[in-house]
Amino acid sequence: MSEKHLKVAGVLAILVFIALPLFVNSYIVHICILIYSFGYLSCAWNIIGGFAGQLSLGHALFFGIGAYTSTLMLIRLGISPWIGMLIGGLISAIIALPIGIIVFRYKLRGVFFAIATLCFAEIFRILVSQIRFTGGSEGLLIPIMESSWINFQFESKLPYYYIAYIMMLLMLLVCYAIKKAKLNYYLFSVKADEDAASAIGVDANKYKTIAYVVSAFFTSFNGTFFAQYYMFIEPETTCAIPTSIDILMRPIIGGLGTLFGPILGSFIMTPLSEVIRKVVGSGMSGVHLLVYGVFLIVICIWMPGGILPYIARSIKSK
Amino acid sequence: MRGVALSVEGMSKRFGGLKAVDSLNITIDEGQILGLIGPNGAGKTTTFNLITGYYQPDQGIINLFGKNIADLKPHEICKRGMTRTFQLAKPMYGMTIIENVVVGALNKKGSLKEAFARSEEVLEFLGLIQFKDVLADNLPIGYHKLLELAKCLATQPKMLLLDEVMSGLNHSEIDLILEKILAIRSQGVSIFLIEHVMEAVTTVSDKIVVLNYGEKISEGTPDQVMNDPKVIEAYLGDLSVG
Repeated sequence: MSEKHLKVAGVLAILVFIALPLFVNSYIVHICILIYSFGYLSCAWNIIGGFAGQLSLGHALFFGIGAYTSTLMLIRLGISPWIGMLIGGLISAIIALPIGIIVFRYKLRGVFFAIATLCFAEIFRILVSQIRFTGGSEGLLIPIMESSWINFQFESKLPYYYIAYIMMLLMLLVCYAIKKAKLNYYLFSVKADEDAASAIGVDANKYKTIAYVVSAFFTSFNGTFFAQYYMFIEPETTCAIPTSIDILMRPIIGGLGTLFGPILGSFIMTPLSEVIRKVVGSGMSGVHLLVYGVFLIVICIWMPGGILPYIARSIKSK
Repeated sequence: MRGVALSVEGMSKRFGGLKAVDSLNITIDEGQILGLIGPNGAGKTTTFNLITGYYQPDQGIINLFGKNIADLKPHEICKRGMTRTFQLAKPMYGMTIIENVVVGALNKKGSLKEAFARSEEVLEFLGLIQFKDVLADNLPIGYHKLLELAKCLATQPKMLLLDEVMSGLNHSEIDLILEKILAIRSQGVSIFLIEHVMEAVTTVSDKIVVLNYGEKISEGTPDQVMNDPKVIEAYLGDLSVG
């Protein structure tokens, strides 16, 4: 397959998914929305987790900030969720900045970075579940308003479908732009060997922090989307540990640090977890996590690096 | 008279009870090649780590082109024109050879395109150009030291620290590296090198400093140093005993 073929295939795929909802039922549309939504989140997480190689276990923090900021601004101030989305992103970036500076300044790498980010996310979850202003542990209902773009509320699933789809494509573009920029070289060198990178002039902490802030900014947007789609947010589903895990599993399975790996991961894992959820029912709510675990082990053993690099390698060796 | 590229005054570093480097004084003139030798564990690599900001010295002044750099981080020191190779080569895996070198080339302002062009020149100079698009993971081990050198050269240093770039190489490879080192020097770069290959270090160095147990025990031209009884004792043990 040449590059030209891939491009044609890519354009075709984009068109197919634009037309898809006209031919399938609303359950499939719902699953597609989840695929795009998680695809988006995976790409955003991949900037810090894949490009920079810093495994954040706490992206629920930024997802939660996005969901809570837009929802609170809507409920308390009557401001459109679109504006809330942007403000949420800015708040996430502003909060990620000092976390990044401190955590990298004290050389928290690997598991220590993971645990630190997990702690910050947990602090946020505990805060919002304790404070009355944020609805406590019962969460917040998004008030039902007229179906319109400005209200970010629709009776039909179709607008959500296209919003999620466009968000995912834009996120891919952002990642593509990073891949083509100097930043990618800095991040890659830091991921490969921080000491070697700094010897040749790379300010490792600076670029890791940039990656973390950018990743947080974009992750936050999807929190708002989630809130508007489900019309309900609560600490346990919005910003608890399973959310963080959901976000990072897909890029790891699809191909850590690759451009399309996170999307591929989402296309595989999201329908799988939905089907399992449906089959098992509400009785055993943790079963989809069990499947994640098994899947992850299988991928780690047979396809280290993820599915996409595995496919690329097997095409090359033929 | 030539200016001073790097001067180290009274630099010391302790690791617990061990004095790794003890009030060391070293001066390197611009365009000079200084060899640093000494038995294993003498503190040579520690000296490099101190000078390039990987360790903080307990005491001492480190001046690079007249400015104190003792408090700076490695990447800041690189920006001031001094860079180093590592004793254990650190290729950046997952990137191609030219991408490895591009990271170094980005040390100087300019576009990615310019960085690629500069990196090609460096690879050409070191004879690595045929590996340009090879992943660092697949680079034959004999070329790892050259890649280290390439990454450093791409940063366009004025002061270059080489930590055992010749160890593990065969004769013709050593001759090639020596030739490159002299060529780099002729472009006005000062060089400070740690080396175990004695023949190589004595051929190429203008001056040699000998370390033992963190202390400087001898300094001078290669001839002076090789005939210094203290140096012979450090390497071979005390010959007068028995």
